[in-house]
Amino acid sequence: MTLIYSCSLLPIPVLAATAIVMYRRKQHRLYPVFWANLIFQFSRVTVECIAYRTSYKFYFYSYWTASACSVIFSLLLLRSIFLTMLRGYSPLSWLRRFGYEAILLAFWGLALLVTYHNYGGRTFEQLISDAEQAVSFTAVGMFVFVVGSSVVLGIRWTSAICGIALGVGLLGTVDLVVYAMRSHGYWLSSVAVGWIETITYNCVAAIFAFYFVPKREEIPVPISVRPELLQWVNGVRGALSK
Amino acid sequence: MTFILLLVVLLAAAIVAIAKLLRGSMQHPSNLSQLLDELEPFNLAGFRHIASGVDDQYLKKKLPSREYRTLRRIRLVAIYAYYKSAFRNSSLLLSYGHGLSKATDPELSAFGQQLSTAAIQLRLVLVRGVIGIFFCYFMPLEIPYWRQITERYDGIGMHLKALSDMHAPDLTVAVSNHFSS
Repeated sequence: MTLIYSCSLLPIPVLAATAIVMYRRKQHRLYPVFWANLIFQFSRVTVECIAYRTSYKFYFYSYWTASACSVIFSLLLLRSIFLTMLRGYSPLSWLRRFGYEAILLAFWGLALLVTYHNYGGRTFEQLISDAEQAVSFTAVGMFVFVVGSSVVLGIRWTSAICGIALGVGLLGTVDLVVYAMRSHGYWLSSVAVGWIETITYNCVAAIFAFYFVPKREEIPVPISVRPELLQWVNGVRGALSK
Repeated sequence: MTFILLLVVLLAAAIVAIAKLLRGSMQHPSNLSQLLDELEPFNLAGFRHIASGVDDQYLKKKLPSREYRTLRRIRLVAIYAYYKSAFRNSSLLLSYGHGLSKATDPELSAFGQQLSTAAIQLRLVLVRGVIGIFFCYFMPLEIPYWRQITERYDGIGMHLKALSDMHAPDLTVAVSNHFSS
């Protein structure tokens, strides 16, 4: 068993533990898309590890199918963060309704334009890298948009939302760097790509576990009515009713 | 080349966003007293005075153009500093309002929603105001949106005064001092 193969097995127990802890705390109801993503990532790593030992063809198709699904999950996660962030602010309902989709379309158009504007003479491997580059460009663009809009609007996040966004952002950014380098013919060996992707993926699994496994206090609900005041008010009410 | 440039800009923005998330944006004031401690001082009367165009018109007539331009630049820097404080305060008020809106007491929850709405309106006007200030550096424009900013800030002060009158009378003076107009 190679070292990189052993490293790629590490996220399996971490993702499983995170999903189980979330389920036991009923957090899967609070973050349904994220929980579904954890289950998907767990299945993905397991299937890829089996496929790697079985046949190259099986591994190839499972890897690229899972990569495409992973990007879709990233976009869904960012959308859910965006909608959660803007929930409860009536002056921003127009942004909540159309903002994400409009910016997604803009980034997708830009990604296609810059990836395929000067096309021709591409190898099959470069075609795959181009496609991955376009989708990761869109995912990173959406990540920047979601974090940027939170900064501009001054809306603070809970630790859970920070953890989800951090994981998604890190994975997308590293993917974009790797695929852009490969797509533009910069030398980057398959072994180096494998290591970069594996280490990043392990870091992301660790980030998810770090933000979700230890019990964390979400936003504290302000207690404006202090107990002694409440007692005093009740006392006055009691005196008045007599 | 265009793509490389776009890519570098996007990656730089992504790295900044990741660094921001790693630093965390987790400080949420848990009570009115903590909120007042964390709010930056914002002198509404001072801001109104410096942002209104009355002095500006007078100085424009009386001073040589070079001195006037220097003075105007100093004034814009001061207004920008006010905006920065208001920006930080609006974020704290949003966070406090969001927390209050989750309270079990329906009255407090409704109050939290009102505060959040008022704070986000202030924030939106501040965003427009900061963009406007940027243009004021290059064009002889009046300070934009300063009236709306003072009105909204005053409105938030009224909201918090009502809350402290009802639930924390000993903080009324501190609230009044911060939001005095």
